[in-house]
Amino acid sequence: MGEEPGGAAPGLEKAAETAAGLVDEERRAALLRRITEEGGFAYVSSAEKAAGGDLRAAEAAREMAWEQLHSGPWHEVVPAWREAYAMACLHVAELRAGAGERKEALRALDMGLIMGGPLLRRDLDAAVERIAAGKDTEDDAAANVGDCADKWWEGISKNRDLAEVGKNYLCSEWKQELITFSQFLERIQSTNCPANVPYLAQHPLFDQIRELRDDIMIPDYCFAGGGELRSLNAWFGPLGTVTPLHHDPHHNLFAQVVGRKYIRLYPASASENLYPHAESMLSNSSQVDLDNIDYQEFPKVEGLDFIDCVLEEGEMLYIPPKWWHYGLAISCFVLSVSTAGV
Amino acid sequence: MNGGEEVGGGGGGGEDMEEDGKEEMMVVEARGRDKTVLMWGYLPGVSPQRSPLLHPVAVRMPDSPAGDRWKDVSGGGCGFAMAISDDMGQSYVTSGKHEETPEVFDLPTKVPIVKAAAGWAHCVAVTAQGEVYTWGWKECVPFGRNVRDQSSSGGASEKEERHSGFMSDQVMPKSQGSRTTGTMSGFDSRGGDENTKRRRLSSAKLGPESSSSGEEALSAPPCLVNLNVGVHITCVAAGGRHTLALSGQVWGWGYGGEGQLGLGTRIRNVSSPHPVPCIESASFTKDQSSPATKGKQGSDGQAFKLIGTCIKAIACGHSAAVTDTGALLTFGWGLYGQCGQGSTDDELSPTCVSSLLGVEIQGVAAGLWHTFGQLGTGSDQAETLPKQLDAPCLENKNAKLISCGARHSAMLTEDGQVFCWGWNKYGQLGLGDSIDRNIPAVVPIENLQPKNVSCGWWHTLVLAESPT
Repeated sequence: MGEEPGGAAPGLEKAAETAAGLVDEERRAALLRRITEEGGFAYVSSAEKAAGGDLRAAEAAREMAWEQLHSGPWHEVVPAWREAYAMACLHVAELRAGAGERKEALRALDMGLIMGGPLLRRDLDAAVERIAAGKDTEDDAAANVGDCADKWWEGISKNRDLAEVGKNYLCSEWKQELITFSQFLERIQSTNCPANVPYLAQHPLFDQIRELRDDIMIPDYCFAGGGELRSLNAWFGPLGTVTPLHHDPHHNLFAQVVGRKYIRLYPASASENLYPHAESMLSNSSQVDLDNIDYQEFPKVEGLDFIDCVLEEGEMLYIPPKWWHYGLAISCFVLSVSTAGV
Repeated sequence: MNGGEEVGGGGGGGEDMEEDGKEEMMVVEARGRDKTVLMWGYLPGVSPQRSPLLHPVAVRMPDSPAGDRWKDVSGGGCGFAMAISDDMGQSYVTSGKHEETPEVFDLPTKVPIVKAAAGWAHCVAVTAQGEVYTWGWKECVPFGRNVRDQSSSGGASEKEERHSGFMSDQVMPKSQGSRTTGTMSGFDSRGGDENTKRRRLSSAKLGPESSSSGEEALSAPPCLVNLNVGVHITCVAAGGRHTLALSGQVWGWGYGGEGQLGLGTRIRNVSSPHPVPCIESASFTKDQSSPATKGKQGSDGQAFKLIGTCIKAIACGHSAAVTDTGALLTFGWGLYGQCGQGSTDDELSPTCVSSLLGVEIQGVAAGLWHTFGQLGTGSDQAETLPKQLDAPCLENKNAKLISCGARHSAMLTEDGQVFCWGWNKYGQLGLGDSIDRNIPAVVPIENLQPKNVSCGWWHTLVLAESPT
């Protein structure tokens, strides 16, 4: 970013007719240069071919950037690679849309929104709007209704969400998958095996779909401590979805929007009796399965004091930092929104 | 990625004599019989018309009067493949620029290349004299001696100077770039496709000012890696951002943020070769002892008996090393269980895979993640502990060599069959389609006997010879 405009002129006419038109030449050149410095020679070459209309090269560039996002811990990912991923998604989307593959195009853009960096955020949003505008007539009815619920439905169903599959993230069958919202609903309805239930958990849905964020009002007292908002996440799942016992470092306001949820809290002081996982990545999670407590293995859990409640629609619960919490969905669809801050 | 590691061979990479002898035999053999290099998969960044190679395709040397004189295959990185030819042991690089036609890559030495390896965007080669050259992505190339200085300056004193460099949290200083300009011309005219892209990028997208100041900073010409006097390297392995070299003991440089340099820290960049304490730290880690008890441990010798006394094979992706007694040591990123220690933690020091003690490991290869069907276990689950592949097609088969690409694996069996498994979007498995496989599948190779297999990032190379 902030590179001087240098020799951008040759790209102008090309930009009008190819995928490169989505990203202005100056930012594009600066980004490609950063990627070259990161060793992404093959990416840069592919991205240039993609800008010239080569779909295979666009897909290859996206695949290369995706590998870079996954070939080390997330915190070590060089930010330029997130931008490069977004750029490749734009290329793929543009070429797919040009070939009439609107669904594939939108999926690529959503991936860019979820995994990409902020540099091309506006380009991605604009592309979503433009490509989604050419949608089939049957979808139009929903779009014309100003009602909030319909907006959510429409906003969600034209986009794709990250969902977790499996009873909870501590199960061996647990995995993360990207599926469309309609696939997500189909799975909820079709599965009677608890190991396969999908759960949209801890998902930054409101970053991905900005329209939906407008419907969330952050209470003023969230800022009373002078800190800032750390995360705003959506949790959406069917009856029986479990968030296993764990704790977080931040203040947490947990709002129940649809359905009912059973919540159990243990104070931070109970930590040593809750058998946290030894592994550093899971050390904020308890080994104890509250749905089926093994008192032989975890004797100290027995008789431990806790606080619990059923959170009804429209209710909100404050969870202090480091307090252990567990959640269980007890009605057929449950949507919760959590805000966390320092 | 790293080249194929010998599974069934004699090992003994530590002894220079043996290694040299072996080399000579290979040359003699090669003169007697033509060797073919087969390639399949995809080199991203190539011309628009080119589609992935779904089947093995013979790689022809350019204008070679005496036929193809391939000596070995060395995988390659993202967008290029690498093989070693018999003539003077020169390294050939096939790249997007040349499609499947490789082009000789000049190294500033007349000594034959005996081994080579490629990471994501850098290459490293070993000469018959045990010297190491590396080039490509600057971050991975230690600021080595300007090769043009080689003739004029005495090696020893310069090596001394280099070694006082120690570890540095900084990448190579910019000024180094201009110092190596003298060699750039040779690299430019001959080099891998990095240069093509770089030039295209700079001419099309950047102003003249920025391109002239930035160009040298982007890709490094071949640099001689400065090692201690007397250190004779026999094998190299390259990961995404780091390099390991083997001289009986292991040397590492480059990026070490997840412990892949095995130095006990998350040091972000080591700019000169550093000894990786394999034997020492493996034996101590196993007993969970504190550094204070080191002396005692060393003297009772119990741990050493299991762990061995030197390293005979190395691999990069994360990092792995095999000792002379067949113990496997792993270190580096572990989120997907890559280190085989039963956990998803990073290993900052070489740590013995204790579940494999009792099995004599001959060789090892390491990939990018090796989860999600790349393991060949028949499921898409990650494994945090080593698991033997038990697919029915492997019955009565003995592995000779294994190699790993970014997300696929290949194996050469003792009876000369090549098996592949893992990600196949770009035909990496050579099976004629682009369907992923989570168990090994045999690659149809007709009328040739495969002798070596080496996976590149998204492609696979096989060295084969005609039957007698």
